[in-house]
Amino acid sequence: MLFISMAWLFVANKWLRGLVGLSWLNGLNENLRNLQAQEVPNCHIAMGSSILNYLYQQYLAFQSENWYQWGPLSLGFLWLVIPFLFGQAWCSWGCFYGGLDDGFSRIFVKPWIRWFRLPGPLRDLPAALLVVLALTSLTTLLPVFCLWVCPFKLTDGFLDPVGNTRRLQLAILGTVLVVAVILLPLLARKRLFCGLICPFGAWQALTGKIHPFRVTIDPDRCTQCQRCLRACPTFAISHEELRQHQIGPYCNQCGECIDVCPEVAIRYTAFGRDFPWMPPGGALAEFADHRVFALFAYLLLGGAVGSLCLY
Amino acid sequence: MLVLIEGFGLGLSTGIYCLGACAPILIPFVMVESRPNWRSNLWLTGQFLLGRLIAYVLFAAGASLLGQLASSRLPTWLVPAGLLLSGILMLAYAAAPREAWPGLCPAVCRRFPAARMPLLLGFLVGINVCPPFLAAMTRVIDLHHTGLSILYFLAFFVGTTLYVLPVILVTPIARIARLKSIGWLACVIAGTWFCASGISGLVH
Repeated sequence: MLFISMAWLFVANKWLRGLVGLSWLNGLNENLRNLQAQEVPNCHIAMGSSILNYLYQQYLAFQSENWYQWGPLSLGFLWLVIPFLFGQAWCSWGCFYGGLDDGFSRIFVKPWIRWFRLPGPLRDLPAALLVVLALTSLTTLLPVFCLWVCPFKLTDGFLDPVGNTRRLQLAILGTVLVVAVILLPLLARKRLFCGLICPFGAWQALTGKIHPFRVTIDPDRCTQCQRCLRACPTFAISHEELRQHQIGPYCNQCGECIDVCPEVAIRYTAFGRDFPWMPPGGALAEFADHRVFALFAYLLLGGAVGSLCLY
Repeated sequence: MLVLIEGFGLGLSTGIYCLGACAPILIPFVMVESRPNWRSNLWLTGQFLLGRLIAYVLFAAGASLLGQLASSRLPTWLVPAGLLLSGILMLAYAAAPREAWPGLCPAVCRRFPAARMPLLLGFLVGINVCPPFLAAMTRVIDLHHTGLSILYFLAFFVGTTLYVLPVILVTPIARIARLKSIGWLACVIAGTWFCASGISGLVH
């Protein structure tokens, strides 16, 4: 609930900030100016897909010796800290898109569309998008994800349908919003944006590996009942991987599979091993849990943000 | 000699932009085609670079002729047409599994085998005009000498190639099967992007 509420508060904030101030058009224009002035947006989702622009921008800042321009470096550093603090769990415990997708996917108790398996290579779509977006962003020196994919531009920017390009952008953003964030999560009880589109998810699949927190299947207990596969909202468990008692690289560590496993064969571990001071069945076992982990991660993140603010 | 140093210097100082223009085409392709050995990947990259070199030499000669004709204008459709062709080629490459090609289109595939793809892609990337390329072209138009222009572009090519060569560093991870699947999808997305950019440029 906290996670979903945070996401909706974020959306409400984006709308209200413009509407209450009665100057949202100015905000819109400023937003557009920032996007089109080769600046990398200060959003964690855009960081992965604009990483090359970000590095290039910092390279220029270093060369210019203009210390003011080093600001994005601090913020970028903060966003890069997130994968190390949260690992892949950020997508399920901190990201606003994750919260929206999660919220819509929980409205109906049973799925209207029974969709448990992705066809062929479609599972790697977020990684492919990450590669293409990073490269095309560098080519155009623009944050292509923000301009062409991110539905949040419908909240405080891009509401001026002037010209065919802007109309096309609006159509794409609207389609992504309706299909991937609202409709399919609602009908299939799957987080479609997180599982199939979000390039930051793919970024996390790579960088989040540094973080020790993992979801692990115990081969001795697993009976291959496939409930985890059906429950996983991001298609992170495939039949092939389950046969080998493995979780896919795009796991968001939401814990749905842990909750539905009747054999208690799936649990959180550190690099695939049980937490040494919290063995299963021990007095502290219940603390080997994502809630405790999330609390520590948020505290550390708060410390990082606070120190940056002071700085 | 000065022409060589100047061309090389321009390539070296602006190569990052060239990489930006080449990478969306080259990297997905290399991800799919790369093998876990350095020699084959070097051969792959070499063909791509050769294609780019051919495009550069042809452009240098053309630009020099333009200069001699006291004209400095390129046809405006050239860049979007290059983008559109690159996009179509990438989509065709992604859509047709190479094993199935000989059965589907024997006549075409004999003339256009997958092995020649990097050469063609390199050529198309070469004619995708990027800002450093324009700078080089402006310079050779002023040279009014075909031989010197080609030398200038050769040096420019060497300077920019230093930025493209690191793509062969994909070799150690080429064993990962998932890389091919990501590369294939990236080919489809990048191809669509280039097609859209090309069509948009031609329409405008």
